[in-house]
Amino acid sequence: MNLLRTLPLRAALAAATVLCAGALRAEEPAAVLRRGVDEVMAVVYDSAPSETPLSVRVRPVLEKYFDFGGITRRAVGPSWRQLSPAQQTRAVELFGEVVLRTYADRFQPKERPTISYGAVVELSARRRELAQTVGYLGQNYSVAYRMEQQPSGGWLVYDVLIEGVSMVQNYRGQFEAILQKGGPEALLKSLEDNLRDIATKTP
Amino acid sequence: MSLAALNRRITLGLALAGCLAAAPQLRAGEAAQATTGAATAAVEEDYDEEDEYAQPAVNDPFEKVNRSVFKFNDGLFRHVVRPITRGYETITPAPLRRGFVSFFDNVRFPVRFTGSVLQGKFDRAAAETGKFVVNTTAGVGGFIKVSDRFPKLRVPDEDIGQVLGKWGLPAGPYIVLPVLGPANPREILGRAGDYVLTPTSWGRGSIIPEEWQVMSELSWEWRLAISALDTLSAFPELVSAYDTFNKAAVDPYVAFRNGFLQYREAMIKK
Repeated sequence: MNLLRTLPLRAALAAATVLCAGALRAEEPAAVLRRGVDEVMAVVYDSAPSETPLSVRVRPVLEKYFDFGGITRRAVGPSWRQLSPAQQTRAVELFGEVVLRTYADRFQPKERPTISYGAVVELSARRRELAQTVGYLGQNYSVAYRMEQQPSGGWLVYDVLIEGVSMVQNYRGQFEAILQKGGPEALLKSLEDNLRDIATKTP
Repeated sequence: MSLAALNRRITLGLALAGCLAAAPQLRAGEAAQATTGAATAAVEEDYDEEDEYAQPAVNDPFEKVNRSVFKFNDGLFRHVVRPITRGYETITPAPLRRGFVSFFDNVRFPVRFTGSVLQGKFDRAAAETGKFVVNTTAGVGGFIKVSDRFPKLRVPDEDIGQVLGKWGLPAGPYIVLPVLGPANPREILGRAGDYVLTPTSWGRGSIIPEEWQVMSELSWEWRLAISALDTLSAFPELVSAYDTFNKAAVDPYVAFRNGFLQYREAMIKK
């Protein structure tokens, strides 16, 4: 009888325990981003001088924090479904590399930037936009990271906005025209060309 | 059109690379807490989320002409702007270069102040005034941006183009101007307004009151030198932003157009 009366309470307690455990596992996106940025900064500014290009050295860090699949899927947009699974895999590989190199390029070894964290905006239940102010060489820039909670509970970056310019949106504009003209193969080719250019284009 | 004005146009053009605006004052916000329940439920939701990057239709009826002007500007950049910048960087020590940037930024206070007031952003106008006073006095005539040490004085830059956008004036078709870069009719009008409000243009014959015509005592050589320095001081950042953006682009023309439009929209909203 006693047991029966306390059963709902017990059930509630059990449920709460499970939920709390879940809460502890799922780290706040702000904390995840801070850790990621710290790791990138450590690679860029604290590691011993190296001949290896920065984009290669930061790759392991970014692979932990960036959702390259999600970034590519969003940048390609609704046409994503027109790509065969093989083309999709290739697109993620190529565009991931473009993103990686572009991002690494932003960190120039002249001076360590100062980063202050700002507001976190809830875009939807599983998406957040996290603002930063980056001070570099006497100027301040506003940078924002968009993060999404993955089915596993962890948070990954799916877009970076610099001074309000979204990287994903910027590539979406470029990709749309290319897809319209030449379809998925033209898109893959343009990415390959771009990677070759990045490697050879030295201003 | 003076070099200073030209500089501002290029500067805005570069904006697409998203590089010149001052930092926004971000209120330290509370991290929105996803409750455990919501987080669990979220996982089961349909993963194919709504498209937050659906593109607005691009108003670019002159694309053919624009593309050729873009190409011309790119050549100008490679063969004129970049070599000049390298030279400038070689002969001018970094702290001095930074000083010039801060100085001309401080001089443009009336643009930001008026831009704030015309949008009814009086707290921002007050912050701009505080910034100007602090930088002009403690910052030795604006050469040191002392105001950056006070978070309250870090406000987003306002200008007349943003005022016009806020007032609902349509941007109009995208136009690439020779030398000056990405623009549209609203931006051109806005930059004309910025020019009028910039003290380096306040000479004899300008429309501002006579007692404010700070440049009228200077000889044309001095005025030219000041304009040239204003332009030059913005070059290093312009070049680095241009290169980064250009290198990353798959289709540079579209990348710059999209970047310019996004940047200005974001500025108007801020």
